[in-house]
Amino acid sequence: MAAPFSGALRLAGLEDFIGPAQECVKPVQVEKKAGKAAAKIRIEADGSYFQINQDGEAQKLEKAQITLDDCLACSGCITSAESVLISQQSHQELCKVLALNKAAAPSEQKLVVVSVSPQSRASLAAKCKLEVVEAAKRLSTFLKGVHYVFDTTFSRNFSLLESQREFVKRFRRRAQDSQALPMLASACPGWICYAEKTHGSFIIPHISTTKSPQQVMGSLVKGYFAEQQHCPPEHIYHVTVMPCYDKKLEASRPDFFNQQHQSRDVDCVITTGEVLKLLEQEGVSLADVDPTPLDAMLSSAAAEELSTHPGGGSGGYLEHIYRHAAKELFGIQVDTIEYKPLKNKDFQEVTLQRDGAVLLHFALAYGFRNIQNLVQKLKRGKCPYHYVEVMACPSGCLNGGGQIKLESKDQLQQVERLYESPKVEIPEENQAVAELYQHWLGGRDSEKALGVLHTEYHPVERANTGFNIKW
Amino acid sequence: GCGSSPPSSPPCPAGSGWTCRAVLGDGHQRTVRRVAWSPCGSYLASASFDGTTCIWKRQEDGFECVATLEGHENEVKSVAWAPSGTLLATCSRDKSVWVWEVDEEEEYECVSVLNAHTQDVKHVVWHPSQELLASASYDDTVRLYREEEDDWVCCATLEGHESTVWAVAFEKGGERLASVSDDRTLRVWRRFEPGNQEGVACSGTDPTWKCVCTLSGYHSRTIYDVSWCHLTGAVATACGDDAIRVFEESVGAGWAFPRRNFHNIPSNLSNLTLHCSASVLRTSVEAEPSLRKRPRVSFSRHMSLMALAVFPVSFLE
Repeated sequence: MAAPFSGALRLAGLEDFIGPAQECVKPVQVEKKAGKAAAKIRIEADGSYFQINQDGEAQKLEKAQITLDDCLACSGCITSAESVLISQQSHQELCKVLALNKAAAPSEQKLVVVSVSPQSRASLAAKCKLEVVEAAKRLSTFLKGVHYVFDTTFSRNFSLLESQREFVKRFRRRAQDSQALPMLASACPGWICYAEKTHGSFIIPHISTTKSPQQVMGSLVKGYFAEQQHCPPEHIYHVTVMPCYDKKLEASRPDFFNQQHQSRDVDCVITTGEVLKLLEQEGVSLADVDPTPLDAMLSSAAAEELSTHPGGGSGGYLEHIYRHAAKELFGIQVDTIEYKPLKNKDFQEVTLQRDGAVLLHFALAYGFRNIQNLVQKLKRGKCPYHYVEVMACPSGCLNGGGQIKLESKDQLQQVERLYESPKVEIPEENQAVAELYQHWLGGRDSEKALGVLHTEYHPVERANTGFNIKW
Repeated sequence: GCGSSPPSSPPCPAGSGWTCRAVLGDGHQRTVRRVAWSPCGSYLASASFDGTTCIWKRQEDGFECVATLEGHENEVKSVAWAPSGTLLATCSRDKSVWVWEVDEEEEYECVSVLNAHTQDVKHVVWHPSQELLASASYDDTVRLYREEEDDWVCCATLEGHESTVWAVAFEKGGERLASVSDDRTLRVWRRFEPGNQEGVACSGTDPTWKCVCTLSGYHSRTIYDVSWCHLTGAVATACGDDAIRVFEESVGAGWAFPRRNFHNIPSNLSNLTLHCSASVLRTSVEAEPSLRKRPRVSFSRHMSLMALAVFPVSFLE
């Protein structure tokens, strides 16, 4: 059964991101008959294999059926992008790691860290009929064997701050750089993979280089946190809990693999639905579990309270960038932001005007059809926006493919309410964030900050190997 | 945009033959698989294996490509205009069906991407009077779609065929639909509204479509196309066994479940042209006189090589 990747990713196809390798070590099946001498194998010019027996008779060899286990054991080949992703990153994988960890010698044990997204937490809270703080604290208890549980709202502060600054820079150079605007959001891997595959070098310059909260957290956990714990990054097993399957693909991007330490910034992504499966497997109801105090990455930060960022369930990029740009570029303090819905509820625009002139023109574009229309407008030079918050899922991340299935629209509203319930945090005012910028990153504009908080994109060529041709 | 090369021969009065008025050779990079005139007649849509659908506007001296609809991942198999003239549907080997809308400024935008089918989608067709869309697929089903709030949804799945469904056609009134398949059957489906007197169950407010007739044993090969005459009610099929068959209804006695018998009309009755633009006995218009012996309605070299069948079939309205 195919995992519910976002519509954009399903259409783009996964094979070009995780291509099967040519070095399969089990290409042919040899019939082992008793009494025969070692068979000779001849490879024809067309690549087919023939077994030559002692009489000189040639027999064409059939391709072997390979099980997924064979492949994973061999590690020289991948049978199918989807099934590999799902098996390498799943709740079963997490259980396996935790079990291995428990049995391992202290020197071999890994430090297990789980970073939970606020969308996943809201979804779980709605399902278990809890408030988000309660859900968070009980989740911490449930994940026994896990040493720390963090909240990606913390790393999202960095994503928002970097996005804000990046936009202002792009806006200021728009006259010299035709590709500076519109700037397009970068937090959604469904969108990124689709853009890289389908529109490649045309659209890539427009995509914000800011990393998503998941990957910023990956850098923080395997960088700052590892140093604090005096633990090499490869000895940390970093799990994230996300509202969609596309995040699994994001975590496995080569850009997020640390060559020096041979370690992924995020080792395993499990979806909200998979956490629910874990709960059901153990026969545990979250409401019955005792709460544990929440962890904080920096000891200085008080983590008894959760916080949130306004601007919708997909991170609030449009709102934060809009407010910051209005102040920085035009000295305008924005209070309420008014959205104007366009063709459908997943396509909305926001305009900043002064004396009849349009200063800023932003939009939200969620869902594949709106992404299509946006990209087509861009290609024809008819995109009127300075910034677009692009997300692959209709209704945004709260409605991601990995969230707990909802029975009705009211339930989605409940998830939204829970998501918005914590106190509002202003990224500029977060002390822990400021400390990290100053002491660990060496300043807002340092080389290290750029390396830790930004990334690159690569146009994907369609793989033309035999494995990809759909006969 | 792309233009058409001017024809070299002078125009001739209606009724005295056919002239090639335009060759639109630069719009597509691969096989052109389907063409469709808009209801108003001013536009022509062309669907291509190159993944795009071009919209051509009729001008005084030819046609101009006014829009290129991109987005399908691979070959576009079919394009169809809705009766309103503001909506278009396309379908592709990428398993999806797209609904497009055109505004007063002739700008085309994607309204919905429908991923209901699990395989290559061969054909899309609109209901004659309602904004209801039908699609036929390699996944052996026919699906129906309608608008719901600000999006489109699949409101019915017609299962029954045992192989690829190549084409569908609505009856004039839109209460019935005919589908033809690689399984060599022609099936007729009928719509039952909620609360119908025949007692057919419906879920929610959507009608249910049931197969009320399966014609098997008439065709000895894959059936590629079907056309339901809006004037006479006759149904014509295009088959891989080189024949066109025309079916007419005869009213049966009594229904527990509405059932009509369609019977095969022998081809020696030559008054059966029934407003067909092509019949078994006369040749169709084609470019190569040497092939005149074989009745063939070819619209692209690629398709005429694919089967020696009659492909496609259409009625003159």
